[in-house]
Amino acid sequence: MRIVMIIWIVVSCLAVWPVAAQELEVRYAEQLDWTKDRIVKSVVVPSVEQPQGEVQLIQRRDLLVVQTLLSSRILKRVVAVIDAKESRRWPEEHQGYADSNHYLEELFRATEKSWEAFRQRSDRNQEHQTLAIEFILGPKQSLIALSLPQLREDDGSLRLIGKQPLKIWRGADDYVRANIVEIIKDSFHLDDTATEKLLKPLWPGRKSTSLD
Amino acid sequence: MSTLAKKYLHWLLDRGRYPVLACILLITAALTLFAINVPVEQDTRSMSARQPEQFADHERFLNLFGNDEDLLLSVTHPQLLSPTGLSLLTEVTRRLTNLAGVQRVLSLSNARQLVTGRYGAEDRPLLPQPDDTDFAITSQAALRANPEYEGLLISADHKTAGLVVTLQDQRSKPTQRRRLIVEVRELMASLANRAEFHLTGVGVQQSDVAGYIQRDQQVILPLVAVVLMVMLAVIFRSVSGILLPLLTTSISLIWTMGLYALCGFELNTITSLLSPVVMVLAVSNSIHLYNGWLHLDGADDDRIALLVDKVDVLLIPCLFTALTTALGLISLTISSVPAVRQFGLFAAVGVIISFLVSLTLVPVALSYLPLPGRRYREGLGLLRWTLQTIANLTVQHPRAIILVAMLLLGVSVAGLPKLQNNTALIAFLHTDAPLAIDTRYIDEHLSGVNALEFMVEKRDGQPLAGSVDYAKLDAFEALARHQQPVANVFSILNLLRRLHRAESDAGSPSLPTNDDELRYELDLLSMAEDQHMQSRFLTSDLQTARVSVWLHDVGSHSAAVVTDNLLKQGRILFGPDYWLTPTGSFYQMNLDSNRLVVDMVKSFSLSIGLVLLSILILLRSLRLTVLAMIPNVIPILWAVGLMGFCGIDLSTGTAMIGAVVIGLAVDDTIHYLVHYRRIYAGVASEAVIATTTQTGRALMIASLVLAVGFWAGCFSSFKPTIYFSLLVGGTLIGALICDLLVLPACLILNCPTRKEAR
Repeated sequence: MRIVMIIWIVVSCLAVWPVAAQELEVRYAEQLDWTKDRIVKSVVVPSVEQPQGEVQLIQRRDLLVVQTLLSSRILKRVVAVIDAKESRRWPEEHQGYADSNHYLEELFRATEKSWEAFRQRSDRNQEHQTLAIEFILGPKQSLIALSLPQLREDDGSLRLIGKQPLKIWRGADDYVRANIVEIIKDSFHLDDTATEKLLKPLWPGRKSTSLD
Repeated sequence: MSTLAKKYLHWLLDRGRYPVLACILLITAALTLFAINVPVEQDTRSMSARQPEQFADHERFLNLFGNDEDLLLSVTHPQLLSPTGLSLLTEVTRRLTNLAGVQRVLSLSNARQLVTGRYGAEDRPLLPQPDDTDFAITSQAALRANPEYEGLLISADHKTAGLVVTLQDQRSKPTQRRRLIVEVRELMASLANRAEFHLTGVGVQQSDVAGYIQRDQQVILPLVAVVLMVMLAVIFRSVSGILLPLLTTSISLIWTMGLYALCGFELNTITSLLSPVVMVLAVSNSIHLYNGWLHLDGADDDRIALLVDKVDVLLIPCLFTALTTALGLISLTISSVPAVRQFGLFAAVGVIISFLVSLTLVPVALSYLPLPGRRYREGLGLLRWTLQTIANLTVQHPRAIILVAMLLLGVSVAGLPKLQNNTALIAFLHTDAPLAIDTRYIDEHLSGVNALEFMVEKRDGQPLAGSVDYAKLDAFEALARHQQPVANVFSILNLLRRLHRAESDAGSPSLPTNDDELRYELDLLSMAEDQHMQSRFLTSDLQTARVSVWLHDVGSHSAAVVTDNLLKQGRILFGPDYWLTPTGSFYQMNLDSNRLVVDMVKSFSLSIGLVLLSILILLRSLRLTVLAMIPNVIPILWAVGLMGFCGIDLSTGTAMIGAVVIGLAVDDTIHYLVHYRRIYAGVASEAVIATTTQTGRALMIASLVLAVGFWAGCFSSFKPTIYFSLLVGGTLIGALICDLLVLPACLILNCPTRKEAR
């Protein structure tokens, strides 16, 4: 009887998961709609010599989005570096640790899914695994989204031409905001002042990018 | 010819004496400046044949994968896998790394392992920190998990550690490498109280060989001079009899070595023989001239005229003996090994110089001396009796002599199949030489000392990026591991297997099973921060893979068998779409060694042809020319057969024996036959007895001096030089015996007036 119950729960979860993803996609459709994105600034990471992706600072209507488009032959390693930076940024005693931990778990799963998608690709000439990470800061709520993007390279820059959401969830405002600041600083090699100067005009309904 | 020569000799011994002496003095002074500074080759490049195709492969290999001449250092410590042992290894590694010319040092102290992490393989130090409480247990576990380090960085009993010292590419700076090796040895000496150290590697071998060459020059050359002096003193028992031949020898040596240095050549293991060989060869004409002068009989006022007559008589045989010796040596210039070519050319130059100097200096010097007394003319009583006995024997028992010679020949021929090509640099050294001891130690405790290198490429130029490519490499590795003297095999697969184990969290090292995994892992390797290991075995464009097959210390004979097997089976295994190219310094040495037989046969055939032609021109008799070859070919076959029976391998040194000896041995025959023809008056036995007793003395003296002079080479640091010296000296004695027994016996048996004489 217990075994039957467990099987029923597992099957139910599996059945509900895509529905849940679709439901979230529908619920956050507006926040995820990238078609009207205005790319404010972008940079190839970690370097033009060894491009593994691109960090884009985006204005999406009244939202501020930091989108990391990863397109790499060694995606797991790139994500491992992100994981290491994130872990250093949010140590256990820090307030955002729980959010960070949740993010890293989802990131790990998304990476596995990206690898599986890569293994099942129809175009065998496609050598890159892809993943999109969005930190979305809105006036009312903050979101974190992971998706499998379809990318096109345009003059050495990556352009999103479609995406399949994998996971979207609400993050604590402070956590999302702080991560946006850190990603911008790290990717664009900016100091605090320059980062604030860059983000201030884009900040949705807020006056400062500072974390306090 | 004779009139012209006499005119010249009269001028030389009259008005020409001072200008000629002044000329010789000036040239000698000028060439001395070069001769005393002959550089010594610091590597063994002149020992390599440099066949264009193989040379290009080796150059390409070096350009793709860097220096293949790593140094191997072993450290033996009773508690190697303890904090004490590790701190010693760390110190040695650090100090080695700080030496100029060292690119990298790989040891247990800095070796890494790949472990499974959240996102795949993670790089970690192989051994724990010395303060780890479970140091010994953790270390043992790490070594068990990474078995590929056994044999390379640690011995099976875990008591000897290996340090692989990769050198910067200093192909053009051998002196810097030599200095580095000295520094490494100083480092070893400074830590000798803490552990046992041994050092080897191609670079060490080359450097030490250069040192041994210098040592041999300092030891053998004075030894040859002393030997010649003693021999001359015993034979001639006069100051002039010692000084004159030594003076001509010294001048010939200075001129030859001066010209050698002037031409920009350096001394190598073969041309290190040049000085003693030229010294020995140069003495021969002086002995004949001085011995001829000793036999002058007349008034002292007529001494110039008598001297001119004597020199005129000896001029043609001396010219032809010098010519045949030089031709025998010249035949070595068709060898594919540059060192042998240089030796052949300059030894021939030395012989011609010695002829010119002897024929000039000896008569000029003798012209100042009063004629010798009767005592000198008669010589030693024992020698006279011996020659008379030999002469009687040849006349009375010619058939028996021929029969004995043929029987010995038959026995020698049976030894020929036992002869084998084998060049082994370490085996060339004395067993107690430090390099030989070190190499044997490292060979016994770690993974061999010589590497056969293979390059694997696709014929269509595409990268090696498919799992099928690596499956073939894996099969080739397995094939290589099963060959007998193979100690270990290294390739990119060692790294790839460990990476895949860590990526897939598998229990044991294995290769990726599909193209996506393989490609991903190759990408990981190509993007790793430390590119040292992968760049040693796979080019960044993935087009060329290197497989290093490490062999125990074996000679070129065994290595050639392994190479042939691997090439044959490897080419079948890889199929027609791949190139499998053997290369590397060790492979080059093997190729050169295996060309020796062909080279030797070519040189020997050419020298016999040239010598035959010279004798034919001199004697103008086909019958005598054929007879002249019999006493010369027989001792050479005896020597080669003896090599087979004694297990002396055919190597760069010993392969030269035939060509060198034929030109030398025939000298006695020429002197004998020229004298025989001059006094032959229809009765062979009378001519034989007269020739043996009259010329036998000079022949015996010259041959003995040559043989003993060559035997001084037995004090060399290299076994091939010792064998060369022993065998050349022995063959010359054999040739003398044949000249005094077999040749007269042949003349008796083949003389048309034989019945009449009886």
